[in-house]
Parts: sequence; structure tokens; C-alpha cells
Amino acid sequence: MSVLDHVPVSGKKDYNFLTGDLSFIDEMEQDKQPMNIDERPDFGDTPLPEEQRPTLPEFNPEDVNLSAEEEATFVTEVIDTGASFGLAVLSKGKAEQYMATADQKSRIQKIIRVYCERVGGHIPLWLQLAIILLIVYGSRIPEAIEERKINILQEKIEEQRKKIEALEAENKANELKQEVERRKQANATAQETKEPGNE
Amino acid sequence: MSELRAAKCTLVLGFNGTGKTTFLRNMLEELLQRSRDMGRRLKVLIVTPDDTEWQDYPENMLESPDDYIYEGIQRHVWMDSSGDEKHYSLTRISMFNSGIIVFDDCKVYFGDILPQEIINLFVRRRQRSLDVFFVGHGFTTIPPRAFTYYSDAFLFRTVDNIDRRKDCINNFDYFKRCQAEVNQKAKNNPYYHKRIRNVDV
Repeated sequence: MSVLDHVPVSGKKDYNFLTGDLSFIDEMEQDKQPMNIDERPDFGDTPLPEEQRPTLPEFNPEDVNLSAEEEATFVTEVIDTGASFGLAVLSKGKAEQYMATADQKSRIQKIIRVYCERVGGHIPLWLQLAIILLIVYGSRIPEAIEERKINILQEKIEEQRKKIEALEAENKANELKQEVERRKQANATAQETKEPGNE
Repeated sequence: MSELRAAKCTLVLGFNGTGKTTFLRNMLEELLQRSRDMGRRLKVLIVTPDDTEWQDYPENMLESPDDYIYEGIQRHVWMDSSGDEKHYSLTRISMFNSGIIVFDDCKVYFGDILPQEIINLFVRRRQRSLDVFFVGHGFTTIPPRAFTYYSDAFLFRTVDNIDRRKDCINNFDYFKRCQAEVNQKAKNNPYYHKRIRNVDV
């Protein structure tokens, strides 16, 4: 159905509806089954639930296992390792070049120790463990991602190699077949010329 | 008494520049005019991904229950981004009844997986007295579920891969033949399009 019908729309503008368009519009003009439905929705009085924000674990002095000095050392190491790793990922370089010097670490450590002593902030052991695990294994994620890419590539190469081998085998078989055919024909021709009485 | 019809779920597919927006615009205006001539109120809501199209129609963000009662064509810019804003558009639109709703360039805000609220909207379109349109550039830009439930499709030129929707379209072979036909004829008339009914098998 490709007949173009010219249908002016209320004399305002012209658009060439196709026959299929017009039949659709005619159908759309028909009444739908009446439904007693309220167009005005009920928004309701109940407000949307507030976004639940994660709450930090409560501080319990009983959880303290380390002195302020030990905590300061721990936190400093965590910061140094985490920050240098992050910078290395960013630059695709080595983490060692971004690590703080001994002097810088010492200054960071001092401030954290003072903070711990004055404010009484302590990091629970479970959190320290979580942070360490995150840093140790998290730092290996880029490596795992790269390794995965290489493995996938190797699989594809292997797949391609097999396909090529199969194609080569097929080609060889075809060539052999053709050679056999050619020899048959040659033999047949030779037979014909040998038989006596051929004119 | 005139014959009653079923609420429609209509797909409009075609690359940029094939005239599908012009077609839609003229068709909606025609429907609006015919409704007015018969003394009826017709409301159309066009859901768009941003503020750059359909600008000649007033904006309606469906902020209050009264915003759902109107006559004519209005547009709703999908509130994207995360958090409450996305929830807002989805919630507000899912309460739209009685009229025509057009999801223009729907892939931008729906992706491949339709929110359940939208699925409910067009699956229960009869009960909601709602005609639903999905508009996209090709087969992969319209959610698969829409193909399962479509009643009509307007196919403009597109070379998008129809095979990606093979499992969703029940008259797939016919649809594919139509795509070939439309693309061929569009070489002479870039605005050529074809109506496909789901009864065409």
C-alpha cells in the first residue's frame, strides 16, 4: 500500500498521509470501551519514605585494643598505601614512586596520634581488618582485569587458529579431489586414443 | 452507536530524518482536530528525554492531580539522573490515564528493560483507556516487551538489526519483509513508511 493521498488538515497545513496512516487515524477516532476511571490520580498524603542513610557503627571504647601510637602507625600506613596505589592506577605507573617519605609519614603519624589522644577516636579491629583486606586484594583488581583481557584474547586467537586449520584441511581435501578427477580424465582420454577403429 | 475499538500500543521506528516526528505531529494534530469537531476532549502527553524537541507544546511536569486533566498536546521532560528525580517521572507518568501517551526516543530513559510501572501501563491500557506510542530509531531502541504487545507499527527507513528482536515479534518474517520493502522504497522517497498491524501474519 503505497498510494499517496493528499489530505489537508483543517486547511491549516498539508501533510501527505498514506492510506495506511488514514486507516489508523480512522480507527483511533473510534471510541474506546468506556472505563469508569478517574483521570485525576490520588497522590496520597503519605510522603515518600526518606532516603535511608547508612549510619556509622557506634563508638564503643571497649573495642579499643591498640594504643594511640599503634593506631597512628596503622592509619598512616593505610593512607600511604591507598593513596600511592590510587595514584599509580591513575598514572599507570608504579606505586613506589608515589609513597610518602619517612619524614612525611612521621608527620602524618604525629598528627593522627595527637588526634587519637585528644579526641579518643579509635578504629575497631574489625574495621582495620576490613581496610587491610580491601587494600591488599583491591590493589590486585586492575591486574585481574588485565589478565582477563589477555585470557579472552588468547581464547579468541585459539578459536581463530582452529578455524584456519579446519579451512586449510578442507582446501587440501578439495585439491586432492580435483587432482583425482584430473587424473581420471587423463586416463580416460589416453584409453580412447589407444582403442583401434576410433575415427 | 459507533463501533468500539481496543486501546492501541503503537510503535514508530525510523532513523533520524525519515520524518517520523513530522508524521507523529501531524497525526496527533489530526486526531485532536477530529476530537474537537466531535465535541470530545482528547489529551496527549509526549514524554521526551530532554527539552530540545516538541517545544511548541506546553510543558507539563504532572506536579498536581489537576495537571492530569487537560485538553490538547503537552510534553513531559523525563527527569533523568539518579535518586528521587528519576523516581519522580516514573511515578507521575505511571498515573496517567485516558488519552494518548507518546514515549519519544524511549531508549534514552528506559534502556532495554522497561520499568514495571510502564509495563503495567501498556499491558493494562484497555482498563486505563490509554493509547501508548513508543518511538525509536530502530528495533533495538524500542524495549523488547513493547514488541510483544504492539497492535500497530509504523516502519520508516532503518537498517537496525531486526534479528535482535526475533524472539519478541510474533509476525517476525512479515516484519522483516516490510523492513526490506521500506528501505528499498525509501531510496526514492526518504519519508516512505508502512503501517504494520499485528494481525498481519
